[in-house]
Formats: sequence, C-alpha cells, structure tokens
Amino acid sequence: MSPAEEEGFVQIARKALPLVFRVSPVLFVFEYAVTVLDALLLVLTTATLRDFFDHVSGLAAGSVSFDSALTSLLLFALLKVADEAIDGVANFVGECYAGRSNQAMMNELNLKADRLDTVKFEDPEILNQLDQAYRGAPNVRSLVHVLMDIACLYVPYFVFMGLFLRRAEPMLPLILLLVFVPVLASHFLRSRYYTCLDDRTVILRRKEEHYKDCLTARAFFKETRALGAGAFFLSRYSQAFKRAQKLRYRTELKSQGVAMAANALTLAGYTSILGVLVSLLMRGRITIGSVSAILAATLEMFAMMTEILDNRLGELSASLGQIRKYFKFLDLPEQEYGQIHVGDPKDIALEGVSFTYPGAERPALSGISLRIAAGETLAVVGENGSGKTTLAKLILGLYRPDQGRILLGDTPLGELAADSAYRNASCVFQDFQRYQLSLRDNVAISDFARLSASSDAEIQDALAAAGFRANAQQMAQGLDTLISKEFGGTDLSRGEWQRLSIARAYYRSHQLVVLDEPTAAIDPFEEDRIYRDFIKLKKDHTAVIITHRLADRVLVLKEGRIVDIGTHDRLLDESQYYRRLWTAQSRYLQ
Amino acid sequence: MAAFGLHDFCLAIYPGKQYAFVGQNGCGKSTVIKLLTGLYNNYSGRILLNGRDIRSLGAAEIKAYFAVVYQDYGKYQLSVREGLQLGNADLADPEIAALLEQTGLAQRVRSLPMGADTPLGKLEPGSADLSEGQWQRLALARTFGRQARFLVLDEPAAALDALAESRIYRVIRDIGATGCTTTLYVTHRLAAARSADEIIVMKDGRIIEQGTHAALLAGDSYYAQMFNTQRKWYLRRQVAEA
Repeated sequence: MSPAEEEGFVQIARKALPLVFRVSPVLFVFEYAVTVLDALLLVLTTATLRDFFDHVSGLAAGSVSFDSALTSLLLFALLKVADEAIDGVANFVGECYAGRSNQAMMNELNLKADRLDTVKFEDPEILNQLDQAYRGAPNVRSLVHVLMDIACLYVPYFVFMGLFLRRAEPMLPLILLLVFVPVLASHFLRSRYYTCLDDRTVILRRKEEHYKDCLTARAFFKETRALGAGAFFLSRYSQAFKRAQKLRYRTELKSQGVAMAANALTLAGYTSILGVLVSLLMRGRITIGSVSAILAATLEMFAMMTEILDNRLGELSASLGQIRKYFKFLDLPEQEYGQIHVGDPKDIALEGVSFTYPGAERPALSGISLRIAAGETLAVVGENGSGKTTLAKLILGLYRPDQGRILLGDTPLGELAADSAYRNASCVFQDFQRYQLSLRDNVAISDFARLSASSDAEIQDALAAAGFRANAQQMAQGLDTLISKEFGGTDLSRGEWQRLSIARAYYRSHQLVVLDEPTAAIDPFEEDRIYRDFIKLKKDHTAVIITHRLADRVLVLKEGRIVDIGTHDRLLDESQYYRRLWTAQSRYLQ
Repeated sequence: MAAFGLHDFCLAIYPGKQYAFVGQNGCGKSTVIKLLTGLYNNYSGRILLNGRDIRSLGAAEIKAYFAVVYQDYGKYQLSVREGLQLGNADLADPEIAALLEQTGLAQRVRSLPMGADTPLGKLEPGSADLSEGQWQRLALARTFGRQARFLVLDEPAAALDALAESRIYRVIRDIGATGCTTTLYVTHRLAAARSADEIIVMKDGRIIEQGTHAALLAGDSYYAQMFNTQRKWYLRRQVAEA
C-alpha cells in the first residue's frame, strides 16, 4: 500500500471517536467528566504541596504558626486522597467501557464482514486485512481513550504546570516543551515502523495458524500423523515463527534506538531544569519551598509524561497500523442491494454470465446463458473444476457475475433488497459446515428468525426428512444435545453431519433449493430415501442439484462452459460427452 | 457411542489382494480403518500384522507400512510438490508428473502460474485454490506416491466426478494387478466395490456378508439389495419415471 492512500492519524481519530462514543454516550461523558476532575485535583495537590513546603520553611523561620502549617498538610493529604479515589473511579469506569466498546468494535467488524461480497473471502489480500482488523479492533477504544485523556487530563495538567513553572522562571516551560517535541516525534516514527512490520508479518501469522492446524486441528491431525509429517509442519511453523520473530526483532531494535535518542533528550531537559533551579536558588530568586515543590512537580510531570508518551502512546503507535486496517476494512465496498422484494416463485435466467475468482487467471464460468423455470428441477453435471459449485453460488446470489446478469423473474439479482436476495433460497454445500452447537441450533441456524415461532416438531420433521437417525444414546439430551467433540458434546459421523446439513436446508423456508452433491457420504439405501423425500418435499419449488439424478433437465458443464442442456434421455442419445460421464458410472452397475 | 463400535470382528487380509468395505453409515467401516492404522489403541481383541500385534509396533513402523487417505483428507496449504513430498520426500519430478497424470490433475497443475510450485489455498497472494474434487485427487496422489505395501482408502472418490472416479479405480486396480500392494477401501458406491477381490458387507459393527461381487449378487443378499437400489438410478426408464 502506498503512503498516499494511507489514512492520517487525524482521519482515523475522527472515525474512531464517534464509534466509541456511540457505545454508551452517558458513560462516556461521565468517564471524562471524572477525568477532568482528576486533572483539577492533581493541579490542586501540586499547589497545596508548594503551599505546604512554604509553610514548613516559614515554620522553621518562625514566621508561620504550627496550626496553619498543620492545616496546609491536612489540606494536601485530603486532596491527595480525593485524587486517588477519583483516579480509581476513572479507572474502573474505563475498564467497564473498554470491555463494552471492544465488544462493540468486534461486532461492527463481524457485521461488516457479513455485508461484504462473498467472493472477497477468496482473496488472500482481504483475508490478511481481516486478520489485521481483528487485531486492531480492541485498540480502537485505546486510541480514543488516549486522545480523550490527553484532552481532559494531560493538556490541562501540563498547561497549568507550565504556568506554575513560568511564575518561578519563564525559561522552565520552554525547556519542558523542548523535551516533549522529540519524544512525540519519536513516537510517530515508531508507529510507522510497527505498521510496516504488521504488513509484513500478517502472512507469516496466518501461515503459523495454518501449520498449527495441520498439526492439531481435527481436519488434519489423522492424516498428518499417518504421514508422519508432524516434524515437517513443526519445522514450517517454527520457520514462519522465526521469520516473523526476526522481523519483529529488527523493528524493535530500530524503534528502541529512536526511543533511546529521544530519552537522552528528555534526560538532558531534566538536567537543565535541575541546573536552572539550582542557579535560581543560589541567586536567591526563589524560596527553598518553591524549589522542593518545583522538583516534586517536575518529577511528577516526568512520570506523567512517561506514562502518556512511552506507555500509552507507545503501545498505541505499535497498534496504529492495525487500527488503520480496522477502518480500512470497515470502508471496503459492500455487496450492493436494491429495493425490490419478490414474492412468488419466478423463473431464473442467466444471460451471458461470466465469473472469474479474484487472482485467478482463467474464468471459472464463461458465457453461461440459461433459463430455469419456476418449479423445475435442474441437474448440473460435469467433471471436478468444471464450474458446478461456482454456478450454484452465482444462482444463489452469493457471487455476482463479472459479465452478464442473472434475473429472478424480470429483476436482476443485484436489484433485490438485501433481505429478499437470499430469503427464498436454501442450500446444502459440498463442504457443509459442522457447527459446534446444539442439535436444535444446528438445524435452526438456517432460519433463525423462525426458531422462536416454530416448535420442536418442525425441527424434528426436518431431521426426519433428511434421514437423520442418530440413536438415543448419542442424543441423550434430544435437541439440546451439544454436537461438538471439542466442547465436550457428542460427535457425529460424516454421513450424519451431511444429513444434518440437509435438514438445515429443509428447515429454512424457500422457493429455490440448491443441493451441491448432498449425498457423497451417504449410503445407497439412505441416498435413495433422501432423494425420494426430496422430490416429495420439493413440491413446486425450483431446485438445482449438482448430481446426476432425478432432474427435469440436465445441464452439462465443461471447463466453465455449457456443453449441452436437455432431458437425460435426449442427452444420452445425442451428447457424446454426457454419455461418457453417464456410462463411467452406470456400466459397473449393469 | 454404540453406533461407531465394532463387535466380534474377525477378518484375515491376504497380501496383494483388494478388499472393499461396504455398508450403511455408522456400520463401523471407518472404525476398522482407524484401528488398523493404529490411530486408536483402546480396543479389545488383537490385530496382527504378519503375525505381530500392531500394538507392539512403533508409530514409525506402522506409518511405513500403511498409506492412508481418510474421509476428511487434509487440505494442506502447500505447493503441489510439497503436498506430494509430504508422503514421500524422495519423489522427483518425473514421479510427481506421473502421479498428477494418474489422478487427472496434470492439466490443472500445468495451468497454475508456477506449475507444481504454486502455493495452494488462500494463505498468500499468488496462491491458487483447488475445488473439493481436486483436493481429494491431490490427497490420493500423495497416498499413491508413498508406494506403501498396504493402501487404505476411506471413500476415496466421495468428492470426485464420474470420470475421475473411474480413473481412480482404474489406478487402484492397476496397483492391485502388480500383486505387491494390498488395498483396502471403504465406499458407498457399489460400482466401485465390484472389482475388489473380496467385498466385506458390514452392519452394526459386524461382518454380515463376505465374498466376490458375483457370489454376493447371486443370492438374496443384503449386498444385492444395496446394489439394486443404487443401480436403478441408472436405468433409463426409471429415471424418467422418478
């Protein structure tokens, strides 16, 4: 990414502030009102401390009574206690706010991801951005918090202290300013280093994740063990880890070098202040009480400065790149929807549709023109990689064509309202999901809005229709049984999972159903039954099934193009390619 | 977990022969494979490999003996070359080319920007993703490339199209014809089971029938019922009626 399109700090802050404020305006105002009070108390403590020192030196000189010295001590102590208490309140409120706003930022990100084009998730660039954005999410509030604290606590505090110092010696605040500038500059420089680091390590981080999965995730570990490939992935993992670590180390080295130079300047500033104070005292321009107070105040100011600049801005500069990615991700163009709602089942028409996956060299589908009548069952056949699944995803509206258009009735899919676009479609994909949820939720997840209104009987019906028949011992808690080995529930075989995914599709109310090889893992008796039930349940629904069975018409795809379309009988007589596909299966069953 | 269990399971497997396991979901087919390949040890009874209890064999010995493709084949996001060498680090270019040709992946791999060295998956820019079926072929190519004495395949063609499936079974038959490799596969597609030397029909964790395709089909067997159920989808008239 070129620096030109990178968002500046101010732009990011301008986006972050309203986002964090909206989480809870009342609490937000309260938190920073408390912070302002905190600043006020800090300043008052410093003033009373100087007052107390003056009283003590007066007491020694005999010009001040013991009582008034004691009063000033008590006032100082009281303010100090109040300050600590207020500080505690501010921290507590801050922690609560951080939790709530982190949740809100994550939510925002998840919702955004949900609104993106499905096809974006095929793009490694976008996946990297998402990974960085997830890491940036918890830091958005930190950014706002630091900025608000600077505005409500540090700026008032330092302005007052500047004035306080100027009263003693006009040169002191100037020195203080000279100390600030290089440290601040060093942080902006360091944030650049960290952004650059994150852009370079994100791929390594995702690789680490994958190699870790290859070693331990359920989808991999059996095969990895059988292959004896554990050592291979372990070395890959540590390779990625080491490379990331090396990059981190180099960045850290550069960053710490800059920090050290800035700290040297701070030290020089502090020494100069000491020198100035000593010379002022020697010349009798200020009292010993003022020197003590100024020294105490300067110490505290340096502590405050380290806190804000090194700790808080330092952490922020390390994560600024990720926060930037967070907002960049939120700004990605979304899937666009129109306003049109469709009610009745309609014909689906594809007109000259082409589609290429991001980064792919060749189109997955090209020049597809096809009309599927309402209520028709269309089978799609073809070899692996011929574009069957892509076609299904286009028909469902999950992917949008690069060229040509897809019409539902007379309405292009892109002009359908968001809640109408997928509303009428139900699907089972080849790589169906195994949600680690209860049996009930695993079915109802396809139509969650219906869950509160529907009875368990409807869920049971969907399961029965899909031939799900896990035994009572496994499903000890009925629909509430947790289907997850990871979370200590019960597990299903691949075939049972597949039936569950079919039940999911049945449960969802639909006019169009797309089944992508729904019975690959199911035995012949059940397969037979599932297809019979499918026809029975289908009624007037439109169906697209990726398989070779039971269709009104069969669409034959090859290398992303339509080879032929027609009834099974006609194709068997006239299409040489279809005959080849068909006999490849059937000759062994004659 | 009764549905996953095996009971009184006795079977002798002879070297160089091909065995097909068929039966309904949950009948224990995959469990046999998991026990045989040493994945689980908590069973009663014995599994002997050349007269030695497999529980007494080291992991390395079992790995060297068996080449396995599980139902959930791993989609390793590596290059094609690395993916194949994962099973056999000694594979050289001509062998890799031959494996890709055998499994029908050659054309797809040639179309990739960096051929067999293109990273697969979605980890980095410039990588290419495969379809389900292509991933399964890669897993099969990896297994064939291991040149193990015992080939174990759990639903090796579940994600494959008809042409690819018959191509894979041809490869399996060719491997069997050499007589050096014992093959054991689990399948729902009875067309594929047909060519096995011995078909083992399982139900509820037990073997209920056993024999060649012709022998099993001759009687009124459970196998014959299954075969006919599957077969009728391919009879032209009945397709039209359904």
